Amino acid sequence: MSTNSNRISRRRLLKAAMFTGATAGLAACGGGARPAAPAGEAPPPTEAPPAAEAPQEAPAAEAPARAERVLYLNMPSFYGDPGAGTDPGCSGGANTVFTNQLMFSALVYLNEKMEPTPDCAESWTPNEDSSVWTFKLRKDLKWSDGTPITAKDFEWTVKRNVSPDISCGGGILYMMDIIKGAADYAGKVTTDPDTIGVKALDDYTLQFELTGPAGFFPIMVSYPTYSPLPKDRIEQYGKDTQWTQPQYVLSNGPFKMTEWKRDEYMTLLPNEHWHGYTEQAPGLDKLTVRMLKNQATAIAAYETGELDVIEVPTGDLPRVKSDPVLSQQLITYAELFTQYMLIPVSAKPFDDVRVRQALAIAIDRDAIADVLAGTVTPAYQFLPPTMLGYDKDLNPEMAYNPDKARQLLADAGFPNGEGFPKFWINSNHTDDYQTMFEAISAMYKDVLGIEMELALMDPGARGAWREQEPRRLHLWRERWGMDFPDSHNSMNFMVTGRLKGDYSKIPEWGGYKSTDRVAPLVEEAARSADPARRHELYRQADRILTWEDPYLIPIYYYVANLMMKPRVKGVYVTGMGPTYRRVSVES
Amino acid sequence: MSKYIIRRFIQSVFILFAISVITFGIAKATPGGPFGFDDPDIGARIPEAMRKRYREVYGLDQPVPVQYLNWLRAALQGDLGVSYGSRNQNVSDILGRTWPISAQLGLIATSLALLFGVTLGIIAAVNHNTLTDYLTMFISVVGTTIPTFVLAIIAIVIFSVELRWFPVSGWGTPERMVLPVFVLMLGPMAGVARYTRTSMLEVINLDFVRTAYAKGLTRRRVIIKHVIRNALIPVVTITGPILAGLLTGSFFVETMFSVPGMGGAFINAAANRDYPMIMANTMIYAALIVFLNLAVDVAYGIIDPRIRYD
Repeated sequence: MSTNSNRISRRRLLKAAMFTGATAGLAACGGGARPAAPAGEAPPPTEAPPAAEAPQEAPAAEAPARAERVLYLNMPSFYGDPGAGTDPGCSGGANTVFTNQLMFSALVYLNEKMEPTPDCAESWTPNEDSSVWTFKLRKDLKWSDGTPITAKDFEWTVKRNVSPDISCGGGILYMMDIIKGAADYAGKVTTDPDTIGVKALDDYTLQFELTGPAGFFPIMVSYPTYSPLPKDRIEQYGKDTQWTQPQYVLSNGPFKMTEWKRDEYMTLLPNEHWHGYTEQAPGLDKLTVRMLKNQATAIAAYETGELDVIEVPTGDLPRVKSDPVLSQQLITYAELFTQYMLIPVSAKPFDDVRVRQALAIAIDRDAIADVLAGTVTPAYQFLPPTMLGYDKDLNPEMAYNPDKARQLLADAGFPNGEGFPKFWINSNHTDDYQTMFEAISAMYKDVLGIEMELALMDPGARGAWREQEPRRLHLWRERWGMDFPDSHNSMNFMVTGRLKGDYSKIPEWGGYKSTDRVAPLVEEAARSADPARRHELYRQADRILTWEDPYLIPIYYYVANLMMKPRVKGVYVTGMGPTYRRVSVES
Repeated sequence: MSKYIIRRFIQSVFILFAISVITFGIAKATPGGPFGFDDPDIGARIPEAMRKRYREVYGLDQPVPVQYLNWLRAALQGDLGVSYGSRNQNVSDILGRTWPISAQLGLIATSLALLFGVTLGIIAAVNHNTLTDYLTMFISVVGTTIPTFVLAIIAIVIFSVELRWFPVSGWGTPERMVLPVFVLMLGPMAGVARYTRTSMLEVINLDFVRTAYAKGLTRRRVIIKHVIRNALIPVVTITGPILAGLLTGSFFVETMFSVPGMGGAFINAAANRDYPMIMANTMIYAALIVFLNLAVDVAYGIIDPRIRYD
């Protein structure tokens, strides 16, 4: 759920802040864009004494003159994050993942190329069909109080995280039900935790037995749910995730939390017991995570030096890009996040492949990307760039082509759109969606001569709208943000969640004829360990879904815009966002 | 008087009961549910087995009237339930943390709004149809018409980004309070100023004022002793709602300045169908309105001897 729900809350807030963002842009432009002040001058946020058990490093004697090096990050929204808190067993919201990754180390982490890289695990090996994975752990793993961590802690944690009884229960089950028996245990089919396919073979060997072959499993275990959790603390203070409070929590990652004022800020200090600490002591003394919800406020705080890294509000992008100083601090990266429309493949006239293809190529995606300035790039397939199966030449036919679109629609029996029934596009209501669908609707009208009416609404109302009688012919906007950077995550969702899932039971969506072609491709790709082969399989599956027998019409990929102060070093940004494990700051 | 208060109090309890039924009904009748199940962008990842378990755990599988009675029974015992939006926190814990902050901000803002509003209103009325009057009323119109979120941004850009007088956001220290209080105060202050001015002008033209002048009292004495005292009665009336509104927090001011109060929680609760949070917020707001209005009515009897409750 990671990026996805962040996107929701962020968008939701953004909607409220839309006006203000624009105003901020105007006001700031009027005042003349000013260079950002050196952050060292920044007034620190409200100080409170660190919690008692936080041993302050006392470098005073060695480096008397050095100023404290503090990094100020922002976590835009905390409320509404499902299972909000710092409990990796409740991870799900992007903000929980954010704090989890600062505080906890999982079995692996993802490097600059999003490859699984040894973290708690030194090495890993699959059995011959990749359905059993054995991880060798480092021998120097410790909690932030110095007590050792063994494979048994990992085993206990996996069982605990899929338990139906934890208060935030099973929010991350979809990241763990690949483990044999996990779904049954979570769904109370069985109450015996030993039926779950995870076992500590000895103190430093951990084995997972999966529901089937999964060559991508090492990427999946980078997710915070595969971090160890402190059993004793949880058993003692587990109720209502009280153990995550600074006075009780123990963690095994780059930082440890010493203070948490809800809705205000968190204070984290470098964890000297982290296994990566010995290789490279962190280049900062303190990390403050502030919780500024409004993006317009956050960019003002960035400019005054109260924050070191922010997401740039859409309304401020033009100003940032044209500012000689701020533009140097802008980091733009493609998120693994696709926006698309699902087509009711069984409803006339959408059952005709030519109609669906006409709809796909009558959209001028470059124009839409221009309108949504700087926040999206055109998508011509389902899988995003850098993932296996992505190929920029996959669907050459899908380029904007009004003549071809008209021809296809005419061939299907609707010359100039005559006789084509009116239909709707159902979507959440945000300013961006309104803009985009007004544009697409106009394109359909101009190019094809057909009417697409907007049905934009509160997300909760969409299901009821769909079920309402008489049923309305409609496209359905949906999007998918990847939880871990492997195409299995997206394609498996499309097959099990859509082609064969709940959607196959909806009359207009059921009966997709190519399910039997797509599903075997995706299943084989899950089994295979050969990247070239997997790339080809996902390529084929994606081409069927988006062009040969279109089930969905891809529109765009999201682009994220961050700003980072030059004094912040050692951070790398991938499609999954920034990684702070080796962050340092100049004072 | 005490009879009247008791009667009004009993009425209030019934009003609150009715509000709770209506709010619960509306919340449940609104399409969609909590936990993002009905938001296709989030719900896509949540398996049916888990949805079922959540509905059981939170009693959402029961008929709505039963759900209401369960809520009412728990609420009367002081248990407001678990927030669906942040499931490791009780609603009472969240409110216990956030409400005092909102109330602090609201109290300061209300006091200042009354102080400055009444002052401006008196100045304007006394200098009726002069430049001072127009200027004061101009300030007051500006205060009423500019929405707080625009005002907040302007204040941040001028006072934080350009002048660097105050931090952009946060809470807890006096310099962090200045901007939110200022922005929150301006609207109500403008309202109070206009009420005071209108009411003053009305009273100034009444017969008893002319009599007071005829008795030979100085203008100063007439205004302070007779006009202001009588003119403030309508102002007292609007103080109740203003106070109730500000005490429960302002979504925009709190989000813009990152004040950890309950204003933000209110809006998010509605958007997330966080029923326990919606109920708690609405009931607090309703109770404040009802009882502050009662307090205002009682205050009438004290400041205006003509008003009697028998």
